[in-house]
Amino acid sequence: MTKNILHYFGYGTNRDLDMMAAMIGRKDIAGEPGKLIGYELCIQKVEHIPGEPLVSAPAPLSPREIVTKAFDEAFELYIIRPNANAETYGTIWQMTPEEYEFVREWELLEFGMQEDIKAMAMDSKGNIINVVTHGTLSASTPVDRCIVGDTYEDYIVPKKGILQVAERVRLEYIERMKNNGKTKSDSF
Amino acid sequence: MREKESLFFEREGEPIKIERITPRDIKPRLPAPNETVMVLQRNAKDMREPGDDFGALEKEAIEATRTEAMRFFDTLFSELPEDEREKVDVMIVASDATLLMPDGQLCEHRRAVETAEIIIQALKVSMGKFDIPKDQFLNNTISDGEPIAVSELRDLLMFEESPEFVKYMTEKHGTGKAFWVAYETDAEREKRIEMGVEGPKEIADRVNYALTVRARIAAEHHKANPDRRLVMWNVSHYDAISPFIKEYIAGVDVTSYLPVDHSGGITLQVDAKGQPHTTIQNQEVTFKNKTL
Repeated sequence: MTKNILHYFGYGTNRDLDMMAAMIGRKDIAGEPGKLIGYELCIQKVEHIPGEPLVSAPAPLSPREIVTKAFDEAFELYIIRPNANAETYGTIWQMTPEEYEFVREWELLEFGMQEDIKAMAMDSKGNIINVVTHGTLSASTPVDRCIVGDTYEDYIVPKKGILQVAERVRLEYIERMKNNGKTKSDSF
Repeated sequence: MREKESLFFEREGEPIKIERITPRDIKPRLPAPNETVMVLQRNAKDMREPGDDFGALEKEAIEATRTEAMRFFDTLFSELPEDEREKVDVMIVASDATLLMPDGQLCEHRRAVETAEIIIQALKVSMGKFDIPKDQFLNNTISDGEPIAVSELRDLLMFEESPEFVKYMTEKHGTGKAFWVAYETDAEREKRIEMGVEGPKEIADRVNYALTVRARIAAEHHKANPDRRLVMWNVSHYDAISPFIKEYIAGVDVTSYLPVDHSGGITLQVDAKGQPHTTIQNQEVTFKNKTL
């Protein structure tokens, strides 16, 4: 790993290349299957997504308001939470810190939908890799259901629609950063 | 909260007596083939005076931490037969927490990661002395030679996750020592639970969770690399380590006071069958037989 490349553990929809391409704007992303030991993969419904705006959020909007506006009340979201006996299957992607900011933007981390997590993943050859990802560090975070194994559906909302929204969010982010004249990549 | 999962380090038997944890409680125990030795250490002392160096490690603390780490690895490697020196692996892990204070002061220094960097410096010197091949420092492939940063070993999650509770606590107890005493003794237990905030018992569980995950990773490592010895050094913080030792090592009230000195910690062992064991201050700790 070189200093300007990080390993991002993408799970749920983010283990799929089409989704990552829509999110960060390129298709030639190197990635390989992996697992995150000690986290369980779960699904939240809209009512489980935080409904209060964070004081530190970039705008006075809650994650629930934002996703409901972009999708609808039937929206569902993948999330990981700690469980010592579980593992989550996904893809270990290689990307720049700047590209990872697109992921953070999509996952509404600044709005408090999930939080930044650093952890140890394992690739398909058994190599341990230090990864960045997102989810919750609280085992009591409310969820609708959890998933065991690696054969789960990548898309739990219509694929075409979510890819279009992801493209739009990325372009809006680029525009906003141009206007601000900076990126937030220094934090990684 | 965690009823579905099984935490690995669960003691049994009578409580043991520990009055203080110091750097000398990190015992250099050589793991046998297929065994793992885990160190759980508090970060080195950092500066708390306002100014540019707020949150940076103190120079004297850096030196003392390096000396103790060198003693650990020198002792360990010197006990290894020469023909076994190619069969020991070392991994250095650290909490990714930045410093946040009740009065809102914060800084980008990551005191556990910076402590782990000191441990790595000492390790490299010691490996050189005993001709331990460089690739046996597993961080070289896992994290480009840097400390492996993990979030589970953070100190208090409430500063980031529960600002309303922090506000309640500071209004009632101020931002000084009384704040910390109130949190550690769980004096605001009812309010804390009402607001869904992590308390001392939950922190002890989280550290046990982190070490359980580490034990699972160690088991996978041993499975893929039979007959090797593994040392996993974990740097965390007072607010995480003290509750863990009280609850899961000493077996005493998690809201009592157990000082853990800066750079102090303990050594835990997991044998080839996956059974944890340790001795703290000449007292044997018995753990329940758990399967990973």
